[in-house]
Amino acid sequence: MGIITLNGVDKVYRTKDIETLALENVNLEIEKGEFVSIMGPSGCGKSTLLNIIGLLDVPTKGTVTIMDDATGEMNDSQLSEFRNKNIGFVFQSFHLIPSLNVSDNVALPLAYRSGVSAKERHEKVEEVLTRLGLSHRMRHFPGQLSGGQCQRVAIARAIVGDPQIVLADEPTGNLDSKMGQEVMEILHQLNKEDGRTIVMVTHNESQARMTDRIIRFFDGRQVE
Amino acid sequence: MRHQKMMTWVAISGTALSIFLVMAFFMTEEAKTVAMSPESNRPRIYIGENFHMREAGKYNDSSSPVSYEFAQKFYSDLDGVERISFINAWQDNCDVNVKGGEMVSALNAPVDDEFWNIYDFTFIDGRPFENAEYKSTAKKAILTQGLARKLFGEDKVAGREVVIDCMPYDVVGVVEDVNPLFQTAYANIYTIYDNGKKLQNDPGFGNARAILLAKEGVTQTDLQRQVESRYAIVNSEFSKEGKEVVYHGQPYSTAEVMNGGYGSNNSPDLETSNRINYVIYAILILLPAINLSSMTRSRLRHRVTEIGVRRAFGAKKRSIIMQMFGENLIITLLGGAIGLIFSVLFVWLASSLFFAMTGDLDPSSLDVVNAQPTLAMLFTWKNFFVALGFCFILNIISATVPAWKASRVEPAVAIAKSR
Repeated sequence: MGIITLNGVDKVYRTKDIETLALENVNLEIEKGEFVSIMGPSGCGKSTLLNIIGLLDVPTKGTVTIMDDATGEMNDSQLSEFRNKNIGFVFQSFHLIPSLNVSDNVALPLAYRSGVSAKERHEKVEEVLTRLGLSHRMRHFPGQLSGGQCQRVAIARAIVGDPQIVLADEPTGNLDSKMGQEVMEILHQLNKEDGRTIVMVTHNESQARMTDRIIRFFDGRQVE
Repeated sequence: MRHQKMMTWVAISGTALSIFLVMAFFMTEEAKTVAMSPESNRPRIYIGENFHMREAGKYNDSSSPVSYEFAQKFYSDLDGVERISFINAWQDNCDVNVKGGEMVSALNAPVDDEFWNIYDFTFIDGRPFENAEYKSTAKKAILTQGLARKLFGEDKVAGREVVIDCMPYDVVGVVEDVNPLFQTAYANIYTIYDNGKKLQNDPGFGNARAILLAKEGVTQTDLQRQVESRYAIVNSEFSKEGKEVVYHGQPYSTAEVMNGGYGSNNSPDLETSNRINYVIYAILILLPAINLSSMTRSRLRHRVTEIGVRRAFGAKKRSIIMQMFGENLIITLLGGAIGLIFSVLFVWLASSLFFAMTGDLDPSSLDVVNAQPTLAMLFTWKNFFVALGFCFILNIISATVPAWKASRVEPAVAIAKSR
């Protein structure tokens, strides 16, 4: 069994008048240490799939098993704890908290983890930021950084808690090609050196081709 | 909060205004009962006064201040009383001058020698009345500093003579001015109480007021129980003549005297007075709390993505709720501190707005003393902790709904909103 397994997953969004099928019968297995790209046109359900894998959303039908845990049986508190320990997120718009400095932004997952002292937190943050070449920016605020630096901070935040899975939603979408290339190199490094499983949503064909596998979606269905 | 500076400052200002309003009202009430010189013993001081009598089967129902004779019957030698003083039931307006000098209108309180042992006046010159002087109803007077300066141009005037309502009195002492908020101790001039003055034919009615200083640990109920049984003894005599003396819960506490709204023929009702105050506090807190709550919700709308991100990285609903309460608490505490400082200053500087109607004091006497409450009367630890309590209440009322809403934000939806 893979590290991430989806079985017969449907996701339906219902409003008063309309019912939209965002995902239909998705069966997917991603192996530990795999770097997978998810591609498809806008509105095909890529981000919905990523949210379901990241336990930020629940499927209408079907099961999601991550690291052998049936996530459908978890309550909200258990899901939060599971995400905190096992999943890191990188967003297209970085989503750094503007009122927190780089150090505090990166420390966010550790702040919600019990048993981590302030000293350990600081050491871990420093270690990750040094690895990503941002140790000199620890006291800066997001507004004082470039886009590429913001995304590196976001990656630092995603891996500071040492999760096995990193989910990246168009991580280079808001960056120029040079910065995008830097970010891709970091993600590959995390995959190769740390053995982390990475699932990336992207529109960039060349970036996708550099990953282990491409999963294509169209109208909520897996087509490849 | 740092990110939404404008909104944060508006919220802090709103909180400050709310705490300002509620504390101004609270302090006005508190200043009337605060224990400070010369009424430092207020928590232990009880007042025995009034006499209410009715005749069975007739419409004869009379009440007025109690006579000295009956005040002694009801209040002398009670268990648990350290000291007892008998003073005139009311302060008299009088005209005071030094021979050949300008006439000054002042408030005169006739008191006995024990009065000076219960109240801690500060003597600038001279001494209190002596027992022999009280017993002989000597023409002695003690002036307040303000009056002494007005009459003599100085305050070391013990041994000099003043004329009160055309009668010469020897000045034996000068005390620091008393704030009019200390209604029992307040006067501009003190003379000796004449306990033998007969005002009415009925022996129960007169001009006395008993001031009791209870021993430490003795409660008002302990004293009331004894006084009530003395009323019963008096009534066993009166009943033979078809009369009844009505007991109205004497002796009264300072809070009852100041806020109880009683008369000579009815009991103080502190509960009603407190209930009205609680309703006012609730309105003063609730209205701004609703505004603050919607402001917090508005701030929250700008932070939906942040909450989504926090949830994505492992924040539980409880953490989000605690964060909302914590942030709101910082705002309410900051606003509370500002509000408290402003309320103290405002009540102090604009005291005439708050204390002009205190009691039945003749306003003409106020021009010789400082009618303002002191800052120390307003900025007490009790007021500080009450303000803190109001901040917590405000926080809970204004943060509960936004915090609950924030905790229910679905991370995927929140993050998608900013996509």
